[in-house]
Amino acid sequence: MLPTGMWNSSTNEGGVAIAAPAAPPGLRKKRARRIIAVGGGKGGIGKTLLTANLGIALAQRGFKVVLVDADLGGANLHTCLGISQPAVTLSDYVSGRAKKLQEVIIPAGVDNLSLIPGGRDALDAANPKYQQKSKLLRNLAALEVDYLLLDLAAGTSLNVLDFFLMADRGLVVLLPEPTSIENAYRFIRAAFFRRLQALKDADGVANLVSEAMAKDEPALKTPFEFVAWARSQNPAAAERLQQEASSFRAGLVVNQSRSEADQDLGHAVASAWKKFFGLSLDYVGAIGYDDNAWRAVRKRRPLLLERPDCQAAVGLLKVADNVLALDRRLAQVR
Amino acid sequence: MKPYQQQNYYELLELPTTASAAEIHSAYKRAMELHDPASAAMYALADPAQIEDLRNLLLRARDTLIDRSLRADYDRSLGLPEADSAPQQLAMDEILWASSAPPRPPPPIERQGSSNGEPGAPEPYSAPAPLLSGTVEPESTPLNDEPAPLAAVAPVPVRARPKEIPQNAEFNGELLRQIRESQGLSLVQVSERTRISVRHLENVEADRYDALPATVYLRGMVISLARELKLDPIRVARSYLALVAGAPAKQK
Repeated sequence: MLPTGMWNSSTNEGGVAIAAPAAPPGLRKKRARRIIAVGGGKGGIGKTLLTANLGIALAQRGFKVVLVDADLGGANLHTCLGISQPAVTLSDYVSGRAKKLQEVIIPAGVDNLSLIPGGRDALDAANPKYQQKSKLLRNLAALEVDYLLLDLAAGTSLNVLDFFLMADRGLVVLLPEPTSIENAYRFIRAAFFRRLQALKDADGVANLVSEAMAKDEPALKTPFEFVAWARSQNPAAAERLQQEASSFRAGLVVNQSRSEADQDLGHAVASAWKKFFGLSLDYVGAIGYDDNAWRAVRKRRPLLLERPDCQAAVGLLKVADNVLALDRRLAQVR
Repeated sequence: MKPYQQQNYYELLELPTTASAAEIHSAYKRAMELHDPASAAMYALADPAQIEDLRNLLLRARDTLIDRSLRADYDRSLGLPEADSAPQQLAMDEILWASSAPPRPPPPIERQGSSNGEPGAPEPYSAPAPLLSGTVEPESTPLNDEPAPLAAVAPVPVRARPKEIPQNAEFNGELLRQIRESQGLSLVQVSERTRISVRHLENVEADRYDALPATVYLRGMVISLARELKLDPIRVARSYLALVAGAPAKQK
């Protein structure tokens, strides 16, 4: 299943013969598009590496994929793919210079794979206005593709969180080190509460959420505690919050794992969330620490094309398989 | 989804209620590995007292579920139907396990000293003695495989306490304060050892329920406090939280 073709050639396995509609049955029928956001709170943890290579892996399996560099302030997804600074970017669309989203979609050098590059230097575009943002999110979601992959910026700004929340599946990347784990916790927590904030509901849910936010009590720091507190205030609304908590799901990817213990870290984090925090995480895999990964970045070549057999690439392919497996399961439930 | 404090033993170990003894052992081993206080995953999300609390619960879960009669009692308390096949299965497992490790005494309800002991070292199953690190002396490990007499001992707390507490005592703040003082412990000392703030401890002892944090949080606090006072944490927490729940509605 590994690609044999070279970069910029169209001879990878399947080649042009596999048209977009050939996506595996069961997925396409239920739903045409899936949006995957890759975040994690911290910078330099491999979000872009994962986005680029997950996109390639999915494209190689015959899915039509568009990668979106949603890091408007510090875009570099194109570099990861070996594409020089594109003439048009997402910033052009956000600012209105490009009228249609299609105008800023460029081929990414792999069959079935396209890219919407991020902005160059337009710092104003890093914080698009609310209306621009919702238009962007709407039109991204309407693209005729199988998978839309969003490479998010670092941090927990509202723009980042809103991109994360628009996705069907949020992937959180973390490195096996305390700082990164803490940031990942913070990121997911922020995303969860952002989602609650967005609930416009007559049940008084919105009131509860803003009241809790204002209180900022350490005792309300987890969904468990929040729901328990809400139950004392407004049982009906608490029920709704409970549902939100149990339906909120993110995937977890451990990058640069060096030992078996690091791989276990993914399970430990997922379990800690379930037992102490109250949100489910799907552990979707570990990408081994591999010198080939940074060598590929230096050569500005995606790892899956440069060294498809190396340890990190194998991990990435496994992540892609697991994401597909989770989606199949989701499709069965729906 | 429930916080770990509200999970039953099967949920804690993430096992179906039909799990065999072998499955219980390996689930326990795995859970202790995952919830290692030294793990970065734990340290960032839970405070040490919580992790310790969870580990104690996991241990109790295993010890209860691998003992046939304790498990039957426990299942009944959960309202589980008495499975026909499960006991059969369990019996087989017990035979299997008996060959690799001697049966051991049931867990005491309390584990004095466990909070001061080595929390990072889960006990291997094959070494029954080190389990009881506190004052509770391990019974001589009987080599017969008759679990009945052991089970009879289990539900009764066996430790003498500095202050005599009636079996049906209601653990309100006042009683907790008396017990603390009878042990010569100051609020500051307890605070240092349990890592609960003095303010919270004062509120607990003064039964100022309105000033206390959310139940989930409070429960962990009361459990830590009870453990520090060498009381049965579960019993104290249940009693105290019942008082909180029964208090006149909070004006908020």
